[in-house]
Amino acid sequence: MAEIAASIDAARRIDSAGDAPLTQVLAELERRRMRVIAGYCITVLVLAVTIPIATAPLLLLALDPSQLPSWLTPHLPTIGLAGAAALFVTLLVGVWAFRRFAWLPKLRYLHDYKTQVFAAVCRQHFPGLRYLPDGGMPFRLLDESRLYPFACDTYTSEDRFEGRVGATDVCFSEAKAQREHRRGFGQNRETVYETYFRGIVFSADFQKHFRSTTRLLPKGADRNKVASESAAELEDPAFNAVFDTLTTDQVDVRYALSPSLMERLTALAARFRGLRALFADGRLLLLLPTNRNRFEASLLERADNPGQIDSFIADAAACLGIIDALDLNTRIWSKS
Amino acid sequence: MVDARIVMVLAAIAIAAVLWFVVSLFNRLVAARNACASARSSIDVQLVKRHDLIPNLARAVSGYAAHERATLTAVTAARTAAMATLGTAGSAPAEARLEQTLAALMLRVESYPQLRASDNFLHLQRTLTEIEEQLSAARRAFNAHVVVLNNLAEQFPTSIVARAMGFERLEFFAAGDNERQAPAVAEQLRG
Repeated sequence: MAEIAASIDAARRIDSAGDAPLTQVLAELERRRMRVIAGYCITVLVLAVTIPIATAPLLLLALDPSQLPSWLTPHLPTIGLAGAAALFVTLLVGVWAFRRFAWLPKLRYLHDYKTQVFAAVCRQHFPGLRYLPDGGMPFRLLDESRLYPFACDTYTSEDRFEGRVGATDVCFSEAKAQREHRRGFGQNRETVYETYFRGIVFSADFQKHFRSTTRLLPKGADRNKVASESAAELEDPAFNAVFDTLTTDQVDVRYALSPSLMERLTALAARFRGLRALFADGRLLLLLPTNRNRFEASLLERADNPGQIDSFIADAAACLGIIDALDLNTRIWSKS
Repeated sequence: MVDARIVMVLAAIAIAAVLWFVVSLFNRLVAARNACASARSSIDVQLVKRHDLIPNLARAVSGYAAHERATLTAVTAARTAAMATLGTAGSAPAEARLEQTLAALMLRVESYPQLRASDNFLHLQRTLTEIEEQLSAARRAFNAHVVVLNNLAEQFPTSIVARAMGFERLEFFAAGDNERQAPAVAEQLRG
């Protein structure tokens, strides 16, 4: 949690002067996009021609030898060997070429689109907020929150936003956490990865000072026991129907979770089914499950298509709307 | 002979089981009562914090709003009464009176823009809001513990042990009649 606060402070000090006009950037990216698509088409075309040619000698082996010219029959083993080698080399070169001329340029284009366009749009539309496409929330945040009764085995996170919105320091990103499962027996034993969380990891500075640690878990969810923690039965029956509340201080949890905030969290849980929350170290951590990969550019859409940019703004605004949904900018207590 | 011994052993086990059951119910009642007492003391802690804040608040207000002497006097008197009755049966009405006088003071402060802009006063106002919310949280926690105790004291079979051991239901913390009514804002502004 302390790392997140320090990162947000650094974001506020970054000077965003010196951006090239967005239209120039979009025009350049559009040219690159056309080159990437051309690279894709040419590579696929070349492979579509060379692979059948490389496969042709092997097809001879499939024919009845009596149908082949007599001078060819003694050379069939050599032809077969050469054909297999040619096919192998062609496939190898084909994979390399596809990666070099199609796949990597596509990834670079998408990455640069996010770094140059989305970051600039974020600076313009959300002053005080910084967008880092390669940034993410650390896996330790998820594991140490104990909002799930186990630690992750694989974890990826991207599209990090950090900064201040109104009076609230906020940091959020997309994340996916998976657990390893072994299934089957003996020689059939295999390792599979189950995704137990995919969505937005959202951390915000809470509006009140509090000492305790409180976890909000979906009603009936599996949990691990934490020392000095006890269940809290709060006054809002709708809230209690959605969440199990576990806290280290029965008074402090009622200070942090006012009746108004309980209502707001209940409404938020209706939007994000399976929402989990942690109140600790003066911050609020929310795990918001979603099934859509947000903040992504597309190779198939024009670089200057406003739809992509509008979609990015809408997704970011939806996440930032959580601050208003929970009324975190109201600062009438001693914490500024 | 063998039958008699078996009967005696079974009877001893049954008695032990009943005794263990009664002891566990008794312990649950004790735990619930102690939780209520602890929650009650949490309320008192917040009340003391509020009492301690008031002199600073009065000093900040008197520096800018000398004409509000009557209101400040009322607040100070209510504070003194509340401190004197802390932890007794008369505490609730005294605290209610203090809350009313504080609310009246805050209303009257609205007429002094210089005071409202003062950093010191703003900090005190925020601290007061925080204490009021913490006090509310402590009362809510107390009520939650009282629910547990009352349920144990009234539900079967714990009620049998509760009556035998002298455990009684507690009253919830509830707003007084004055607090239930809408505040007479016009009266408070006239002072």
